[in-house]
Amino acid sequence: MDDREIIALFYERSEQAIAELSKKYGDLCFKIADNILNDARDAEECVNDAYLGVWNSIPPQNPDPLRTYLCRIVRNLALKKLRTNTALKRGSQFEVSLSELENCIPSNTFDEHLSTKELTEQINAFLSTLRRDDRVMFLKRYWFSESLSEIADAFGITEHNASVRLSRIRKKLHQYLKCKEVSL
Amino acid sequence: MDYRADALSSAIGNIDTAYLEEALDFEVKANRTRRTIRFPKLSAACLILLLIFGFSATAFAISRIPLSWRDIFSPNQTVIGDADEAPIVSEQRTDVETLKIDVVKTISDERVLYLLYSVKANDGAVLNSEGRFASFDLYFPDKMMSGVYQQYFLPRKAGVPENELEGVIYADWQTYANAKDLVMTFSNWQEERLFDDVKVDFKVAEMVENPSGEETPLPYGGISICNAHWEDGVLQLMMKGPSAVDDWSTGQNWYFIDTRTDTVIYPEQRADYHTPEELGQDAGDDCLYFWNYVSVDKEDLPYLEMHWGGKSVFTTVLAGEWEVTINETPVTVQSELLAENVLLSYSGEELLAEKIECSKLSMAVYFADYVDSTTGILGALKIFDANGEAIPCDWGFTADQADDSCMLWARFREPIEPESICRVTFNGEAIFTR
Repeated sequence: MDDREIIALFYERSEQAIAELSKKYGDLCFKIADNILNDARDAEECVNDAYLGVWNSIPPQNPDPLRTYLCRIVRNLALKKLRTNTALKRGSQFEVSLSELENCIPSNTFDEHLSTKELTEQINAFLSTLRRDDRVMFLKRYWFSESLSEIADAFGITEHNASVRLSRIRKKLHQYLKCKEVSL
Repeated sequence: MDYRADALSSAIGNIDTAYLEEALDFEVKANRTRRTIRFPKLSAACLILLLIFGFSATAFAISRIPLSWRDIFSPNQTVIGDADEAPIVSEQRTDVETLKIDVVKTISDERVLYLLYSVKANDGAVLNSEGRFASFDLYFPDKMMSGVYQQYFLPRKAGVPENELEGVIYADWQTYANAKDLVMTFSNWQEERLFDDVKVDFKVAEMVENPSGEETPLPYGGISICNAHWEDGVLQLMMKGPSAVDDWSTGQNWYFIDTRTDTVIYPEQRADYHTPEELGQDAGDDCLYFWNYVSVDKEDLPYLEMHWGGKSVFTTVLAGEWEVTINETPVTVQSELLAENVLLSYSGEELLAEKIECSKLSMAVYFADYVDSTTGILGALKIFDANGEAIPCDWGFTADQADDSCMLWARFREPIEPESICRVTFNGEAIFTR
């Protein structure tokens, strides 16, 4: 079913909307939540919470594209759950990928600190400098928290190659932020 | 967890929807055609640039240096060229009438946009030139704006009323041909204000033990502490404030004092934000929830005294949202071709610079193949004037979105006449002279 039609169902307050949302994006949402939480039951719960969030927000919202709107809600909910449950952190791909980013931001050498929004703008700008493949790889790893093997499979390369390419991208990010005098 | 990585992760979480869609679509395409046919090297963007160049690879004849950023907008200054004097027609939308923002002039080439605008408050009001808008955005509707942009105010000129200011914006422009339909949004005018130090009546240990207790109001902005939670050496404070107030967003406005030792404990720089709907609450509630974090041992909590203020803070003095759209097509200055097919040697590799071009605002070196910009190559390029002095500029790198082509490019810190560029060197060797 087309996203517009799904949104129309939400506007009609038809429960079929959630069924259609789940049918179309359920697997994607579960994958995002599971990559972060590393726990199928919690991931499932998180996805259901996300559906509820969409139900509560449409209307009045009319998101376009619906897919990324839903993905953001799932990710936010999964991270929230992760934050409050230390046990979940063990084995989470998100935690692994996050640890890779720790050295990306230059150390605290400036008085002025960027807000998250400003940092997002810088990262958007940085992403615009990357080749499409590198940008997608960056997102797969650090937004979707995909494992190296999943990324390698998607790009048709070895895990080692994926790891090296990600390492280069992180190095570029570090250089970029340093150049822009970004610190936290 | 390293708070810097956490902040970076939060920032990544908010990245542009277009990039997310691109990543999601990539999977579909990758699964469908794992080995796709390679696109031609020449991207659409480069093709457009070449077409533009084909029509207008002429040098500018006007020479008035030195120039300053303000000079290029002066009515008496001809460096922009007569054609650039065409009026900028802009439309303003606002939810308040207390501030009027007009675009005065723009100048841009294929890589850089530079824009002068005026801000005028009601008669009798005073706008501090060191003030700022709490948020500023520059974008084309329905387009992904690549590059970065910056906005600042010029010192007030003599004789200009105190309710008026001139603001400047520059943006890494990249593939946009002109500024038509460009939208600028501004919100909440802020000025710096000193707040007295106030002790907050807040017993953090009690709230941690009894999380469902009453909210504790903070002294400013309608903000209150809703909840407190301690875990793994970190105190999490959940706060709530009106969404229109944006100067409480970081932990810089408050701190704890350990009353046993008078040690000041500041919150961490990171903070997480959620709208009510994200938390499953009434979407009509016009507020934001945010979490602040303080590294502190649990046994210290009963001895913590919360303080707010004691420093200068940018505070909203004029709340509102303003949006300005450029309706007409301002003239875009064209670049001059300096050299073509220049072979460069760097780190044992040979790189072919397809063309080197410049305008009054920037210079670019185009490559058909991808160049790793992290190897220090940006520092290898230098631009010199007739006196052998290096022309101040900031080098950057932009990869094409569709293929391996890329450019190394520099924004001049002051606009120049292309004729003033007499030598360009790469690793000390001249690659262009005149």
